[in-house]
Amino acid sequence: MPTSRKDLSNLKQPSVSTLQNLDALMEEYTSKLEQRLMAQTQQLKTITDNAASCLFMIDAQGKATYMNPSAEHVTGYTLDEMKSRPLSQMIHGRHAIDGSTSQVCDTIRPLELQKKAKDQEDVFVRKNGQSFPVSFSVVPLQQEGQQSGAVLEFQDISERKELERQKDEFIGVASHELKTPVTSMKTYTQVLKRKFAKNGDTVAVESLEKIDAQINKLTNLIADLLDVTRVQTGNLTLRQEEFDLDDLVREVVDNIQLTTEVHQIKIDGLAHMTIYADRDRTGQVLINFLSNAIKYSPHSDTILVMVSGDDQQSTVSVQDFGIGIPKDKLDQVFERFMRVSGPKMETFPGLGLGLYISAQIIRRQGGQIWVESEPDQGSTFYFSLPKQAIQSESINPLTIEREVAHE
Amino acid sequence: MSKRILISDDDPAIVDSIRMLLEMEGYIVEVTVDGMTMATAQTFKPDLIFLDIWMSGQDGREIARELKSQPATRHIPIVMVSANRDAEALAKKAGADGFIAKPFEADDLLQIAQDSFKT
Repeated sequence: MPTSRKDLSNLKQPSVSTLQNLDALMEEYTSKLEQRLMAQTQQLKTITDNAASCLFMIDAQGKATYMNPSAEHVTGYTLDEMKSRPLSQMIHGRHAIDGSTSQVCDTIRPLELQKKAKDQEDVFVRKNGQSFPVSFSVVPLQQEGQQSGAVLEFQDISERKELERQKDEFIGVASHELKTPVTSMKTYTQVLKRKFAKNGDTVAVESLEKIDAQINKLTNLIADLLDVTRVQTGNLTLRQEEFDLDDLVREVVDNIQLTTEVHQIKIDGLAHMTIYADRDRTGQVLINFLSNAIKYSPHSDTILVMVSGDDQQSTVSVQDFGIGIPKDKLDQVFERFMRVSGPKMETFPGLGLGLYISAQIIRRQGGQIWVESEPDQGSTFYFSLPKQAIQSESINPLTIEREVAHE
Repeated sequence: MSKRILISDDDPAIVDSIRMLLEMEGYIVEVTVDGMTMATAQTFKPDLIFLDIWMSGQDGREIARELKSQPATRHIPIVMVSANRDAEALAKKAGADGFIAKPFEADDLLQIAQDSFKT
């Protein structure tokens, strides 16, 4: 140990014991760091080992580099088995069936687009060939500006789907059962109306017409209920037929005008178009817009329907001058069960399903649906349809299951 | 001569109300509620049949196919009735000549009956 500060030459060469002490210290620190790292790693591993969600880490080629025990349990594969081929070829429903690597693989697309996918529904296939519905999320990863892979998280939602199916089946049966007494009620009412009309009893005829109108309201509510379950189970069939849009608008407006003595419905503009879409269902959307316009503007006397078109698409809008929709509810308007309440928190009749169904009908035909509104001034609902309506089918896991079963 | 119409539906009230409507308009009406459509069609010899697509356990489409395959009944126009308006395509595939969704307007039912006699 140098005893004098002037004696610097000794500093260049630490003594062996100093080096040994430093060495020991470093070993100690390294060991402590290793322990801490191991503890953290162990903690993370405990989390992923026990997570109920299934987790995969995939590389830039779409092959699995990590899977947690839940993923092994649910898919029936081990990581070793999964490492060799892209994930999509092994567990992804469509691709496991036909062996294709596809650009349309929803688990890979986020990787390509470098976008997250959240809570998407799809079908995966277990090692034993059994397909099952899943809800999954994908987060793409980057390293030094390059795609380096992704984290995939998914859950087996078979149970949830089965419950949904049972509920939807029930609603389907219930709607059918409800329509039965309504059918005979309506026919009896119309028989009576004819008899009383022959006898000149106008009061009776008027009463019966009002009963008939209420029966129609009931019918529409039941139909809405049925439509909603069809939409949910992917059973909403949309036809493609040629029809004149202006014709349909005029027909619907004439019919709806009969239901309100308070409002004047005016048509402005013409589309001059024949479009290829489902005439009934498109008409249903317009009826929905008009009934809402009437319902939510009880103190106004005008409803404006505007129609326009070019060779690519047609647009129809319905404007009312009623209570309007609060700004914070505008983006929820096309979701299920949304009912707007009035200024005194009163609720308006209806199930809150009409706009949800209308949105499905329009979007499934490749169109767009939107709304502009000012509270206390009124709302304008729009839909546009391409000249040739495309039908987009949502994946129905049950259909895929049947396909798989036939392999 | 008055036209004869056979109505087949498993709900007695539906069958009764349609019968009342049609008899008011001067038709001769026969009804079945238990799917005895084939047998009744052969004895009653209707000019038109209103057939429900689903009758507690019986598939109306099967009955329609049977009616269309038998020489004694294949000429009789069949209008299928369903609570599900999307069933029209299914009805046509089974051989039905027409389709009406329930609940229906009385005027529409009468019109479709009249139209079926023209063909």
